[in-house]
Amino acid sequence: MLAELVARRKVWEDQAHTVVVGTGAGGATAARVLAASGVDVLMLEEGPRLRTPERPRDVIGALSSTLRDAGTQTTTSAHPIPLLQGVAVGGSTAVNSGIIWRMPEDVREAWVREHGLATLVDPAEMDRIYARIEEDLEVEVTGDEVLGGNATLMRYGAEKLGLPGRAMSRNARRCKGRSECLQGCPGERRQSMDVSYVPAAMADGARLRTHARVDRVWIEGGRAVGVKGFVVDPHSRRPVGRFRVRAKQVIVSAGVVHTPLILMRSGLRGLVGRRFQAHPGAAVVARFPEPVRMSFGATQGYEVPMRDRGFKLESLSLPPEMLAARLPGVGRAWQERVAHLDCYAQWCAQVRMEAKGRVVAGPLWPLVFYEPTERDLDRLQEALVLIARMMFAAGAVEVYLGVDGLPEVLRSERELDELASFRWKRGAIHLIASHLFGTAVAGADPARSVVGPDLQSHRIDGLYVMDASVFPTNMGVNPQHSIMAVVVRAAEQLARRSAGRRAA
Amino acid sequence: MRLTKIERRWLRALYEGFAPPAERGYTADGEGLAPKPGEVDHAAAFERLNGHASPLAQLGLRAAVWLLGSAPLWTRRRLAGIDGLPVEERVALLEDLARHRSALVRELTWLMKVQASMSLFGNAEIRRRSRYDEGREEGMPVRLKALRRGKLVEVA
Repeated sequence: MLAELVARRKVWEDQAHTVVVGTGAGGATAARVLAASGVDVLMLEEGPRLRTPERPRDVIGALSSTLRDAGTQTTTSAHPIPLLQGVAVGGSTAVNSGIIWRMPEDVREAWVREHGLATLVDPAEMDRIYARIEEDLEVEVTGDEVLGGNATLMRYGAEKLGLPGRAMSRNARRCKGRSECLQGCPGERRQSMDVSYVPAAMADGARLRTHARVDRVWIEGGRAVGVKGFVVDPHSRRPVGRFRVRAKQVIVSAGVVHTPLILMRSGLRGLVGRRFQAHPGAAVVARFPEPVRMSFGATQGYEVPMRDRGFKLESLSLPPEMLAARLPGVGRAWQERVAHLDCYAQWCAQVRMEAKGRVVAGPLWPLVFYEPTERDLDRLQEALVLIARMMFAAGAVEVYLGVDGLPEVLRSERELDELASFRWKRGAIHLIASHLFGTAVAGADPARSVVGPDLQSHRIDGLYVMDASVFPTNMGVNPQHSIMAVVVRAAEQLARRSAGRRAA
Repeated sequence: MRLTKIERRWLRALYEGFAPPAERGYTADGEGLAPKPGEVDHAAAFERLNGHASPLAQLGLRAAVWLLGSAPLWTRRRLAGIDGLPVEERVALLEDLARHRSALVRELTWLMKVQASMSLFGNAEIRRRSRYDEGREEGMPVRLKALRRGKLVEVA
């Protein structure tokens, strides 16, 4: 805060037809579509542009260089939930596992029926757009040759229990199974935005400025005419100066926590910051008698969608720093488990929670108020117990639920049955959330939404929101593909309108 | 977020409690995973991560260092910091803290264990000794075996 007050020196000014705030799935896609249509686009990114082979391989380096607050951004509650969001060129796509899911039909229908978004998610148009993105991003089902031990064991466990599992579709056709998605694919095979749509937009003439943290939308006469913000130091991320950009159109794609904060600082109120939703989850680790070798294989390769139960199970390989931290014990007991680091598997659950929260500015830092409901916690417990059963079915000799207050080590399904028979305490489960939604929701009714079906603000002309903030509901599946498809749809309409105005 | 001299001492003592160094008589299954004396710069790793952490997290982590560092005083009624205990007692103390009746104490102990793990495996030599990365370069699919009715069978 103080640093922002001190940073009065104006460092640079710029102008463009359209300024895009953020370079994640939403911002990069908007820039790509508009630049390809001949629009003069300037992309602004708060974080650095890191070539993936040069990104730090160790977890401390990876977290501090690419995640907001080095992964320590959390909800505001007695039991904080870490909210993982990328802050680098590529946004969260630079750190995710590249899992690709089209928007489920029941979600699309609810958006049409309850939020008046029929034009935004027109099925024929969405199919065309999905196919184009899947081609651009080299989407393919993960092959057996790169599934790796972690995912292969999960497949075996799912088959033993008759669960509907499948190899994941990912945007990494040429994946070599290095299990380093978090740190950035060394061969740039995973087509995150920093290696795909951002360079493509730049090839079409879009410009990129990094270390530029947008503070607010510049509004004159009820119309967006640009943005103002802070130049941040590449190392400390503290403001060292100011910038402003004049533009005819502003697209805010700063993510579900920071998009509403920018809108609030720009004077927008009402539903801004409300209807925050997420897919929080937790993970279970198991020890197997033979090497699993998490270090080889797709970081995430296999999934068990349990849509009717409200959760999805996924294999998730970890770097050694994070895997070791999940193993029980202290001192010699811990070191002995750590010495067999290649014998562990980890599978996680993502829960489609019904809870709704709120993002507010806060006096010192952003506050995210969000608390799962009792039903959400029941679903989570059911999911974690099911993972543990799959692990035993696959031959695990020890299962570590990681739930505070319960036995650290389970050696049989009978022990699990006893624990499953009562409700676990909310604070006992270490939740984490990377799929966030809402806070500037889209809808036809201005009384129930922040932006319209074209993703333009109901109140401010020329101001658009294009990221998962506009999602009126969560989805139960990984959101990157849906974010991109919705943004392509809106950006194509915007490009046509911009071309019409230029011609006139 | 520079640590003070006493915080550095406590931090090293805490991390040595989670992962005792080889010279103190602990070795992990002959894998050489226990750090050698002075091999890991715990303070640097702590400061590196927490320099980028949210203000709230920075506060929480600092509180964890003080709470756990002063634990001999409020758990054992001994006029000493954790660096004043022999390593075996530090291990026992951390085991007690990990099962403490206060959820806050348990959470902060777990948080420090995460930090210790990051510090340990952030060291390239220890990571090499862990053999975690072996097999990756070859890109060979592993043969999986699982325990079925007391026998190891190949499952994939």
